[in-house]
Formats: sequence, C-alpha cells, structure tokens
Amino acid sequence: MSVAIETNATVAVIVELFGNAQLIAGQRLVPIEVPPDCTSGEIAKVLAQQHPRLIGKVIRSDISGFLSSYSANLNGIQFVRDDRIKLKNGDSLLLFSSQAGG
Amino acid sequence: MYGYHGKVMIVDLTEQSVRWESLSKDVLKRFIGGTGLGTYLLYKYCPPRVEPLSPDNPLIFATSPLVGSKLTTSSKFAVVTKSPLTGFIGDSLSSSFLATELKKTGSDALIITGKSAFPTLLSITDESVEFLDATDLLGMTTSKTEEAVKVRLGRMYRVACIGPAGENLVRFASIANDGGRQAGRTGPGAVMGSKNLKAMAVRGHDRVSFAEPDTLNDIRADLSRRSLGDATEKYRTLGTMANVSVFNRLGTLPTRNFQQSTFEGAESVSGETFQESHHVKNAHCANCTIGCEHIVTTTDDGDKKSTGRMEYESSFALGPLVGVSDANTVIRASHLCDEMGMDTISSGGTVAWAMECFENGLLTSVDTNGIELRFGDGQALLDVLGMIGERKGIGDMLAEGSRLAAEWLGNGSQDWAMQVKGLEMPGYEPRSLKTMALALSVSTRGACHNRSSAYEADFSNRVDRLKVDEERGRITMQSEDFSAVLDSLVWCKFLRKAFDDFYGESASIYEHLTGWGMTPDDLKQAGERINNLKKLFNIREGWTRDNDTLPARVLQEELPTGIVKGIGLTPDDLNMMITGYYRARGWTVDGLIPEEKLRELLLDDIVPAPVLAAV
Repeated sequence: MSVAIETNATVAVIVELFGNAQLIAGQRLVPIEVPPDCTSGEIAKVLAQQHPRLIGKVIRSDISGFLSSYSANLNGIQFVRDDRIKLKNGDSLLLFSSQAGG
Repeated sequence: MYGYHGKVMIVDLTEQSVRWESLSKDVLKRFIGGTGLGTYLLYKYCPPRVEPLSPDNPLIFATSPLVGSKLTTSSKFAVVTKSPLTGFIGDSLSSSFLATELKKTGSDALIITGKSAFPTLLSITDESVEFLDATDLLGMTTSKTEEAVKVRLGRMYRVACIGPAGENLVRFASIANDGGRQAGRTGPGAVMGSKNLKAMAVRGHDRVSFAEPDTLNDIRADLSRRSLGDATEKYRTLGTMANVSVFNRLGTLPTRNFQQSTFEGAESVSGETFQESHHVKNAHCANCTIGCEHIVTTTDDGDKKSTGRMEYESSFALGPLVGVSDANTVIRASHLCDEMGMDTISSGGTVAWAMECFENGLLTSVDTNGIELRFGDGQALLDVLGMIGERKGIGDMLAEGSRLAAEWLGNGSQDWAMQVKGLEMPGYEPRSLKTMALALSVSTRGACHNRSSAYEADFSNRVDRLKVDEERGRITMQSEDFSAVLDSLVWCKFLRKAFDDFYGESASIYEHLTGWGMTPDDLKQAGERINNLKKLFNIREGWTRDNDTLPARVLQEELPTGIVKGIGLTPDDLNMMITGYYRARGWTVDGLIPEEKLRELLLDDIVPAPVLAAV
C-alpha cells in the first residue's frame, strides 16, 4: 500500500473492490492518487490504468465512470454517483455491485 | 380466455373430493396471479381466525399469466396460507418446472383444504386427482421424497413435498420442489404436514393460449438478451452471497443474533470465498436465462460431500448470525435445512436466540442434551438443526420459532427473539439501514426482505441510511407495491433491473398475454390493492398497531462495532417513520384502512361488512 503526502495536486486514496470486481482485478485494495476534488469518472480512469480488465465489466467501456450496476461509496457511509467527490488522504472508495437482495 | 384458465381447483383431503370454481376476468385483472391471486383466494376461502395448523386453513398454490409463456424467469408460483409462525398471511414464492406443470393441469390456482386420514401423496393430472398412500415416504428427506415419488409415478411428474420438519409441524418448515427449491418463509411446510400431505405430484397437458404469441416471441428474445446484461451480473457471478463482504464493510451484517453488525470471520463465509473455494457450477430454474443458483460443495469431508445451493440469506443466517466462520459448516447446515425442509433464515435466527440464551445461562447443557450451544460452534449448530427437524430434545421448543420459544422460556429472553410478527429477521441490520427498518416493521408477513426492496434506497444516494425521516414511508410503500406486482405477474426479482420501464413494459406484456387492456397505472394500483388486501387479512386475523414494530434489541441497543458504531434506532424514530408510512398509504393513524380507500382500490365488494365495520 502506498502512502502519499497530501498536496494540492493529488490525494492518496484506496479503492476497495468487492465481488466480481475483486475477482477480476485479483486484488481487494487498490491504492490510487487522484485530485482531491474529482468525479467518479476520473477515479475510473486511474483505476482502469492499473486494472484494464475492469473495463467493460466494472468500468464503462468509454472509461467515463462506473457501470450503472455498480455502486461507489465513500468510506462506507456516503454513496456517490457522477457528482463531484471531495477526497482527502486516506479515504476509501468502496466499489461493489449495486444489486442487493438475497 | 387467453393467459389464464379462469378456474381454480379445490381439493378437500378430508372428503377426498375435488371441485372446480371459476375465476372471473374481473378478479384476475384485479389480482393478476401469484401472491395477488393467492391473497384473494386466502381471503375468500380461509375461515376468519382459523388455527393455522387446523384442517380448515387452505394451502394455496397460485400460478400466473406469465407461466407457460417461456418468457425468461416466468416459471414461478406462490404458496399462500395462514402462517403457523405469524398467525398472519404467509406467502412464499418458488420456481421452476412445478409452476408450468401446475398450470397445465387446467387451473390457475390449486387450493388444498381438509386433512387426510392417512399420510398422502396427492397425484394431480389434468385428467384425475388421486389420493395415494404415502406411508412409505414418511421420515424421508426432501430429496429422497422427490426421488421416491418419481420412481413410483414417473419422471415426468413434478413434485412438491415436505421433509421431516414439515411432518413434525416445525413452524418454519418449507415446501420443496424441483430438486431442492424451497417455498421457505412463514412455514407453509407445517401447514402441508398438518394436512397429512407428504407430497404432491403434478403432470398436465392443458396449455393456455396467449393472445399475441408472435409478439411474445419477439419480447422473449429481447428480454432474454437484456437478462444477460449488467443488471444481473452480480447474480450470475458470485450470486447474492456477494452481499456478505459488502454488508460487513458497511456495518449491516447481523452477527451473533444482531448483537453486532460486523463479523470478524466474514471473509471466510463471503461470496468471494465460496466462489474461489467451493463453487461447483451455476444452475437455472426452468425458463430462466440468468442462472443465479450457485451450487457449492464442502471440501473437508472426502467422499461424503454436502452439495447444494447457497444464497446470501442462508450464508448469513447459518454463518455470522450464529457466529460460524467455517464455510464448510455453513454449507452443511444449509444442506441440512433443505433436506429437513426448513427455512434457513428462521432456522438460523432461532438457533442464534438459543445460543444467546445458553451464553447467558437461561439454557444449560442439561436442556440441550449436553450440547455446548455457543456462538461459533459449528457442530452444535448442526446438532441442534437436526433436533429441530425431528423435534427431539430442545429441538421441540425451538421448532416453535424464536417468538414462541422465548415466550415459553421467559426471563427476558423475549428481548433477544429477533423477529417481527413471529418471522425471524433477514440479513439486513435495521439500525444501519433505516428505510429497511421501516419496511421490516410494517411488512404484512413479518420481518421480510422480499415483500419490498426498501433496502435499495439505503444502498443509494437517495437517502441517508443512518438517519430517519417521514419520507421513508412513501419510499417503502412504493417499494412494497412494486414487489407486489413483481410477485403477482410473477417475474423473478433478479430480473427487475433489466426493465427500462417496469410498469410500462409489464403492462404491455400482460396485454399480449391475455388480450385484456392493462395500463401502467392499472398495474401500479393492482400492487397497492394487493398489499391492502394482505393488510385486511391481517386485520381480520387480529392485527393491531402494536404488531408493526421491531425487536427490543433494535430499539434499545446501539451498534457496537464498525463504521456504524454508536448508531441506534429509537422507538420515537421508528414510530415517526411508521406514521409516515400509514399516511403515504392513506390509512388512519392507527394503521387501519378507511372505507374510501377500499372503494378506491375496488376492494369494497370483497371485504365483508363486519370487517368494514371494525375498520
């Protein structure tokens, strides 16, 4: 896991992958660096660079964001969609299938 | 008539007789099929205040206009009866070939009433009904019963049966069909057992016609294609078991009888672990393109493997809820429940209550035949599940379900019975899912995750899942009405996100099936009508405002772990949401249904005057 010093340019956050996303990536925790005020699309682009196999399965084919069947959640509390996300060093962005039901 | 037969078959086990009654277009359009039609028939044929395990309680199997259409996920049926676990409406859904065979017997629903003088195998074809001696099947597990019936009558028969739990009137016994699918919740297997009905074998040839078969062919292909898209990806890959690790991270995974909402052993029983280490194959119901069924197997017992389906609710109830973190034990426990014919959620929930009682000294090893019934003890779990199915030792008390067992044991253990209206809670922690908390409290069949999908709001940016507001009432109502339509047409829940416009597309498909006009608003109102009739049934059976609540633990204790540490739910907050729900439904502040609402929903001709007067 990388630890980055917060600057104006980027913050270090962890993307936590669950379910099929985790199995595809072969990794549960993915450290990334993104601007502190960014969109889920920008996060998707960075994630796609590290795990291109997620494209089309988790990340939209045009890499503009995540598939609508996936949910993104900040630190386990706040669900985010395509709106801008305020991030700080050490934040976690959870990524999982939005279909619940058992 | 297209899409329906317009008939209901009524089998009286006491008299060994069969009669048919007609179902009018008006009734069928108003109640659709599945749980809707089943609710209508229950209201009509169930004597008020009947004892659920008495012969007069009808056991209803209802199909729908979709059955036989070969549209994806359409082979489903509802089992509706007065629940021996709750004393209110019990409606369960199951799937696959039995649905199509039932409909091919020439009826839209089958009502079984009375009680046979001998253990019975009911053979139903479109030509005859036979009451066969089933003494040789007694004591058999569900899979052995199904196999024995097929050997006896022929492999083309489709079988519904009970296991030892149903025979022994375990109040949460299930009815199994088509290789282990279960109508599980609310105890229909106990009702079947109370009728001395061990199994039912069905074979038919009377297919309905559909109004516009060519159009349906086009829709079938398109819907099948869409069923394989992103919206069902989760079900096809890890299945609903994917919830375990996500729910744990979000602090919504009920653990050790809801004492925590995170489980330190979650990873060991997660969907990811089952997929990587235990997965055998995926399986489908009849006429389904999704294939959500994940067949898993044990890995620690050589040739004596336990193999079967695994769902989130089973893995939660027989894993975190009882503190068990060994996937092999969870598989064995789920398999045991399926073979005994018991609902896995109520089984796990009731054992979890007993474990808490044991750990607090209310039960001792003297009571448990020497079993150290502690959280996390997998062998104790397996031993007690077997005792419940056989009603042996402490299993006799636990077979009553957590509510009645706690009433018997007393000493404050009622506060640990995690149930609503007698139905054990599913795997959604209400304190950290506030919309779901409301849905669990007001659901007509008790603590249920399937008669609404209210949790969807909590798992989105529509609401703050940790806070309450009156708006949750409207959200829950809409979710319940949506589910009622889904469960009456009947579509599989896992298809719901594959529709671009659920009501519009479903109304159009209904018209193509039946040739009868149906608008999206008609369909929406049908959902509201069905939920109101379910509530009217409960009112008739003794429902009061106090029945819409949550277990004491939920309303008294804050969550102690995870990111939701310190989060609780006060009685005032719950009451505020319930008030909002009643208001959204147009009910009185006491949760009763005004006469003008009955007229608006075209229910005033169904509800008899005495009930209206009471309302």
